[in-house]
This record gives sequence, structure tokens and C-alpha cells, in this order.
Amino acid sequence: MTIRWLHRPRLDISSGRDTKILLLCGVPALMAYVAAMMGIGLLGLSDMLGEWNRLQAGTLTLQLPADTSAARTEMALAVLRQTPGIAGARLLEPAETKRLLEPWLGPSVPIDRLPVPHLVDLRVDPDAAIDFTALRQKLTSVAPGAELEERRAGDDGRRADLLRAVRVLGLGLWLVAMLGAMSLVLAIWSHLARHQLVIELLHRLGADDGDIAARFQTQALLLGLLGGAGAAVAGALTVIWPGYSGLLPFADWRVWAVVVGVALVPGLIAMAAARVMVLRRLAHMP
Amino acid sequence: MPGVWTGSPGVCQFAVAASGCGAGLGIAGVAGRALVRLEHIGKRYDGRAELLHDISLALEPGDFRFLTGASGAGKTTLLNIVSLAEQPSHGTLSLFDSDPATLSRAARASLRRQIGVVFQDFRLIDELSVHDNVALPLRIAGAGEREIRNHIPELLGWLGIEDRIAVRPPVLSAGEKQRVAIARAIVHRPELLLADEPTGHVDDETALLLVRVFEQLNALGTTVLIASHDTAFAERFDHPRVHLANGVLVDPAAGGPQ
Repeated sequence: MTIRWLHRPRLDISSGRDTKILLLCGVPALMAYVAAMMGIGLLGLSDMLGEWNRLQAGTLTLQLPADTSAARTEMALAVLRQTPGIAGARLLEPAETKRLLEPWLGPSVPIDRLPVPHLVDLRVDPDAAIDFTALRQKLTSVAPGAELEERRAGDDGRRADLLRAVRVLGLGLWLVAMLGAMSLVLAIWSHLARHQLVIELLHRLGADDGDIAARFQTQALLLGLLGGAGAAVAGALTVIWPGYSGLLPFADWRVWAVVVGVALVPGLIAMAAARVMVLRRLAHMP
Repeated sequence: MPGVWTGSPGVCQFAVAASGCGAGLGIAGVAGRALVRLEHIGKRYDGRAELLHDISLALEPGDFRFLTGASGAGKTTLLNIVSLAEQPSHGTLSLFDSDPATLSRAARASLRRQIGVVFQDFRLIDELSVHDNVALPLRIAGAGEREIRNHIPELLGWLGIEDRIAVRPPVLSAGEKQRVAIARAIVHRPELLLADEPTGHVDDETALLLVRVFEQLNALGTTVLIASHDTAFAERFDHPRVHLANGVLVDPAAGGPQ
């Protein structure tokens, strides 16, 4: 079986002097760099949001008054452990409580002689729908004065801000990617417009449509890869720059997936655009 | 111009491999049958008067003809139709015993590879050297680089521009560009050569030499049709002439329609 591309005629038409196309490809390369940075930022923010969600949804604290008896404390713990959605309930040791309060009260204060409330650390299934109102009623019935803290109310605003930032960044990334792709397609279109006579000449000399398209799509691929590689190198340098306080560690494979994607995607877009445009131009020739 | 160029017998072999040169198209050994046959060809561009009207013409293998006519008479359009660059508005064209209108695009491309065209405006690629410009038809036909390297200097020497092989077209004179365009048109030993004003940018002496080049090529078996606005120049050669006036072929002797 003949492999077509092995036998393609060499229609080398150097573009080494074609500085305009290099300048035109500089714009999409710059946009690819911006898109890479936005993509990495988006990944970092998404990670932060996920971690925030996990922490907020999974952490609750129950405070029992200092004078709550051991029996009532055990009953409160039993209520918690029987509640669906609560994965664990652990009474903090006095030493742990002391460690938590020490930053505020100082090391010299005898905490064990103060009426410090008992603290219960709860782990909650983030996906569970817990009826906190009913739970509070049950807890106060077995341990009067019990207070179930829920930090969600105070943090929902910040979480919503973060979510909004992620969405805005995602929209910005989409816009930059679209503009980058459009500027790349425009650069290829401009390049082909200036080579219209060459396309027509090759056609008139008897070159097959596929061979003519292959000659231009290969050049577009190389130009796209060149621009993408420039953007990728700039992106990689930014990520590994010593002073860079990035949202993601440079060892994260996703950072490098974004960098490699930025290096490859412009070339593939340019190649596809060149092929479609050349074949469309040739379709107007008999 | 030194010596006599013998052409490249190997080129068509590459063309056969790449495109079905000759036998595949039924053009080998068709003596007595028209290589080109135009029947009642007309050409009209959108919203304009008919440029060519009821053109009928046949070229036998080995023919050498001049196509004369004033500027704007339709010579270039007629050559474009024969070289498959334009489609006639009506009438039928037969080329190498094929009807191009019924062929696939790939088959039409294959037909084009059997035709050499000298463009009036040269159409050289400025980014390529003279060597690479001339090599284009060979590369399109799939010829090997060694064959190309051996062949092109010989051809350029035959045309007297071997010392310009490495330069790019922008530094060439009009006459040199003309010769490069001719070299590109004949480098693959086409079955049919169509030359549009091939002597339009050279002095009288060089024009005579270029026609001798076409005659030598014709002696090697290529059918030649030369379009020229210079009727007096064409009359200096002992070759049949057809004349185009206002889109109609006329008898050059009688001055009326053929």
C-alpha cells in the first residue's frame, strides 16, 4: 500500500524572508502565552475553591459548656454519631484545647483552672444534607447550652467571591483563546492571500490540490508550532521563575500539560486553517 | 545559445509514476488524431460581452502554429481555456483525446502536467532561485533531486542564462525572466507548449533565438502554439498562423472568418 505523504512532491517555497508572517504570528503567540498563564491561574483557583469547599463542608465544631457532665457529654456524642452525614465526632483532649487557646491567652494562664468549654471536632460528609436545626434541638436537649458552630454562614460570601473569580477567569480564558485562534487564522489568511499567485501557479503547473494544500499546511504547522513553542517557553520560564509565587507548584503535571498544549494547539489550528483555506481557494479554480 | 538541447528522456518516466503521463491518458502514439480540439468554443464573463465566439481549432501532434491578434483579441483567454485554467462558456474542448469537463480534478491536474505554459507576465516566484523556479514542474511530476540537478544547468545553458542559476527573479532583467519562464515551461518536455507573448520582452535578435528554441523543442515532438500580437513577426517564420480578431478566428490570408 502506498503511503501518500511519503511520495508527496517537494514544493519547497521558502518563507525565510517572509518577516511579515513572523510578526503576524507574534500576536497569537502572545495570546497563547496569556492563555497559558490564565489557564494555570484558573487551575490554581479551582484547586483553592475545591479545597475551600472541602474544608468548609467538612469541618464543624460543637461547644459544650464547661460544667457539662461526662454523662451529658457522652449523650451529645452519641447523638452526633447517630446523625446521618456526620462521619466522626471526637472530644478534644484538654491538652489540645489548651494548645488552641494558648495563642490568645498566653502560656502562663492556667487554662485547666478556667471554665473552658469542651470542644467536639466533627467531620461531616460534604454531600450529605443534614438538618442542622433539628440537630441543634437534640443537642441542647441532652446538653443544655450546647452550641453547634457552623462557619458556612460567614464564609459563604468569600466562597461566592472565589467562585465568581473562577468564572470570570474562565470566561477571560475562553475569550483570549478565541481571539488567539482568530488572530492566528487571520495571520494564515493574510499569508495565503499574499501567496495567491503561487497557489494558482502550482495549480496551473499541474500540482494536485492535496499536494498544494500540504505545502502550505506544513508551513502553517511550523509557524504555529514556532509561535506556540515561544509562548510555551515563556510560560514555563514564568512558572519556574524563582520569584514567581504561582497558584500551582511547577511540579504539578497539569501545569506542564497546559504548557505542552499551548505549544501544540496553535500549530494544529494553523495547519487545519491553512488546509481548509487553500482547498477553498483551489475549489474556485477549474 | 550554445548547442542543441536534447531534453530529458527521464522526466516523463517520473511523470508516469506520479501522474500517468502519456500512456495512461491515451496520448502516446495518436498520430493523425488531434492533440487539442476546440469545437464552437465561446467565452463570456459575467455581465460582459462575449470575448470568444464560436472558436473551432485543432492541433495535431507535432504542429507548430502562431496565434496572432491585437491586444484584447482574446488570445490569452483562448490559451487559458486550452491549458485548463478557465472553462469555456460553451462548446467542447478535447485535450489528449480526453474531455476535461468529464474528468476528476486529479485527472485534470495530470493533463496540466503534460502542458507547458509560458505566461505573458512570467509568474516566477520571487522567493525561489532561478534553479528552483525552473525545477517546479519536475518536482510536481515527482522527479528526483539528482535528476533535477543534472538537468536544469543544461537547459539554462541552452537558453544562455546558466550564470543566473542561483539568483532570484527580482534581480533579473525582463529578457532573462522571459527565458526562465520558457525554461520552466519546457523543462519537463511537455506534449503541448502554449506560449503567451514569449518574445514580448526581448529584442528582435533574442526573439528569433527563442523561436528557434521552440522549433527545436517541436522537432523533439512537442506541439507548439505561440500567441503574439506581432503579426509581422509571426509572418517571418514558415509556420501556419491563425488569427484572432474580436473574439473570432479569421483566415489570416483572407482576413475573414475561417
